[in-house]
Amino acid sequence: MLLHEVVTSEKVPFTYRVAGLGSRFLAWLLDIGIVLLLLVVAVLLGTPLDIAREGVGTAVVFALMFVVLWGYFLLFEWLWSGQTLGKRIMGIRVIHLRGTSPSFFQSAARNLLRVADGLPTLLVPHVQILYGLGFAVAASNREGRRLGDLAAGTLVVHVEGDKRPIRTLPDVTKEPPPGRETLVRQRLGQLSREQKQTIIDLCLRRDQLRISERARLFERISRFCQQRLDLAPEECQSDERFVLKLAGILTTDAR
Amino acid sequence: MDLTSFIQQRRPDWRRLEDLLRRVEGSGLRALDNAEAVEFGRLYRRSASDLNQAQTFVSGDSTVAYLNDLVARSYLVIYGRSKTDVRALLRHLFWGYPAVFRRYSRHVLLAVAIFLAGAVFGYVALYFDSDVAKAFLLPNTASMIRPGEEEDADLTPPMSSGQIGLMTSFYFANNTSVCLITFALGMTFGVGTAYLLFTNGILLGGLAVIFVRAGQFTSFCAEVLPHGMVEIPAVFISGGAGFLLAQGMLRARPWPRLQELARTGKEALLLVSGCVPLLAAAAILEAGVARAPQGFLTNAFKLAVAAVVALLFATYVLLLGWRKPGQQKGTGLLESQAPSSFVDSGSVEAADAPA
Repeated sequence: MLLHEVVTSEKVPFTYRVAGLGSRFLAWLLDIGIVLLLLVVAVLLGTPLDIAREGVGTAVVFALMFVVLWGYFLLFEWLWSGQTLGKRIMGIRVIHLRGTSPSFFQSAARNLLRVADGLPTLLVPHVQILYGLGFAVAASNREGRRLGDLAAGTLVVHVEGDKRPIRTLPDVTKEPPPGRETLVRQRLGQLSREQKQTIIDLCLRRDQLRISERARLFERISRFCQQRLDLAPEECQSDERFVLKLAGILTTDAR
Repeated sequence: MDLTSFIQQRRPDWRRLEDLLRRVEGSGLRALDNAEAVEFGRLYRRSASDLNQAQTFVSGDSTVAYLNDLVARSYLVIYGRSKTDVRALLRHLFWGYPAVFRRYSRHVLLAVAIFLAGAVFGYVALYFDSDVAKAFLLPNTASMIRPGEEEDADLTPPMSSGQIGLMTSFYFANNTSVCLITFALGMTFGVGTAYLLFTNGILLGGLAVIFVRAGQFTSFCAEVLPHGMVEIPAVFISGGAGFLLAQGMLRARPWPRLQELARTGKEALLLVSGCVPLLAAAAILEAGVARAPQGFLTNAFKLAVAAVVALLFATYVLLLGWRKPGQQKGTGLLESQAPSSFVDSGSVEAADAPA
C-alpha cells in the first residue's frame, strides 16, 4: 500500500492511499460504458428533432457528441470533486498533489491529455482504447501518474470516507489493571535524565530514520527496558510499540 | 500519552466533526449556519492537532488511521475550490487572454514556421509533380475536389438555417478536436504537434495548387479566408501550446522537472483555451459565409469579410490587455502564477511596439 503524504497549512501531515492501476482501469471501463450510452442517447435525442426541422437534429447530435467525448471526464472531475461515476463506484478520486480537489484547469489538463496517454492508438481519437504510453508512464513512477497527471499535478487516490466509522476504534471500556501503570511509572523513574531523553527523542524523530536503523534502535531500547527495568511488553506487538508506550507514560509523567 | 483517556476525552469532538462532515459532503459548506461553520473550522483544527499527537506517540494504530481520514475529508472540504466568477471569466477573455497570447508568442511563431514550411513543401511538391505528390500527400478525398466545376455552384440555392446550424456544429466539433489533439501531442516532446502542423500545412499548400492550376485562386481565397483568418491562428495557438508543454517536459529549471511540467501545463492550457471561442467564430463564418454559393454571396463580399475578421483578430491579440499587466485580476480558475522573473521576456520586448 503506497501512501501520498500531504501537509496541511497547519503543518499536520496526513496521508492518502494511492489508487492502483487495477481499480483505475475498472473505473475507466465503467466510464467508457457510460460514455457510449450517452452517445446513443445523443443520437436518439437528435433524430426526432431532425424530422421537425432538417439539419437541426444532426447539429444537436454533433454538439452533444463533442461535449460527451471531450467533456465527460473533464466536467465530472471538476464539478464532483475529482470523481466520475466510475470512480465513485470504485471508491477512488482525483486530487491535486497538495491534497485538494482538482480545479477546472487541472481537470482539463489531465483529461485533454488522455490523447497523448492513448498513444500509439490515434485510430479513434477521443475514446482511448489502449493507453499504451499512459500505462508505461504510470507504471514507471511511484504514484502511478500518467502523462495527464504529470502535466496537471494530480494523482488518483482511494476515498476513505465512511469505511472507517468511529466504532472501529479500540474498545476503550476495557481499562488495564490500575496497578500496572503506576508500577511502570515507578520503574521508569529509575532511569537517568539522559536515558529518558533518549527514549523521547527516538520516538519523536523516528520518521527521519532509515527503516533498518529505526528497527535496530527500538529493539535495543526495548531489550534494555525489559532486562534492566524488568518490564514485560505485555500486549504490545512490537518493540517500537512498546517503547512508544513507555515514552507516552514518560511524557505524561513530565507534565 | 495514555491512548485510552485520549480517545475518551476527544471522542465527542470527533463524532461531532463526523456529523458535520456528513452534512457538508452532501451539499457543500452552505449546509452549515454561521455558528456551525465556525465550529467546523475549530473542530478541524483540533482534530488535526490530535492527529499530530497520535502520529507521534502511536504508530500504525487504527486511531491514527481514523483521525487521518477525518482530517483528509475535512481538508478536502475546507480547501475546496473557490467559486468561478462569470464576470472574471469574461474579463479574462477580453483583457487577460491577449496578454497570455503575447507572453507565449514565440511558441506560436514556431508553430507558424512549421505550418508554413509544410505549406510551401506541399505547394512545391504538387506544382512539379501533381500526380505522384497527390497520391502521397493528400488524403483520398482530395481527388474529389474539382475546381473546374465550381461554376455550377452558382445555381445551387443557399443553405437553409437548419443546414447552416448543422455545418456550424460539425465544423466546430471537428476543428476543436483537431486543435486539442495538436495541443495534447505536445506531450510527445512536441514531435506529434510538429507532425500535425506540417501535414496540415501540406494540405493547405496542396489545395492552393489545385485551385491555382484551375485559375480559381480568388474563389479559393474566398472559400478559405473568411473563417481561415481565425481558424488558422487557432491551429497555430494550439500548436504553440503543444510546444509549451514540450518545453515543460524538457526543461528542469528553475524547479525539478515534474513541478516545472505541472506549472507549464497550466500555462499551456490557458493558452489553448483561447482556441475555443476562436473556433466557434470560425465555424459560424465557415458555414454561413465561406461555403455559401457564389450566386448568393460574391467573392468580393467574402474577401471583405475576411479582411474585417483579420483586422478584429489582430486588434484583439495585439492591442487589448496592455494596461496594468501586473494587476490583472485572476479568473478564480487559476491559482498563483509564475514568479515574474520567469515570464518570457517576449512580452516585455513587445510592450514597446504598438503603444
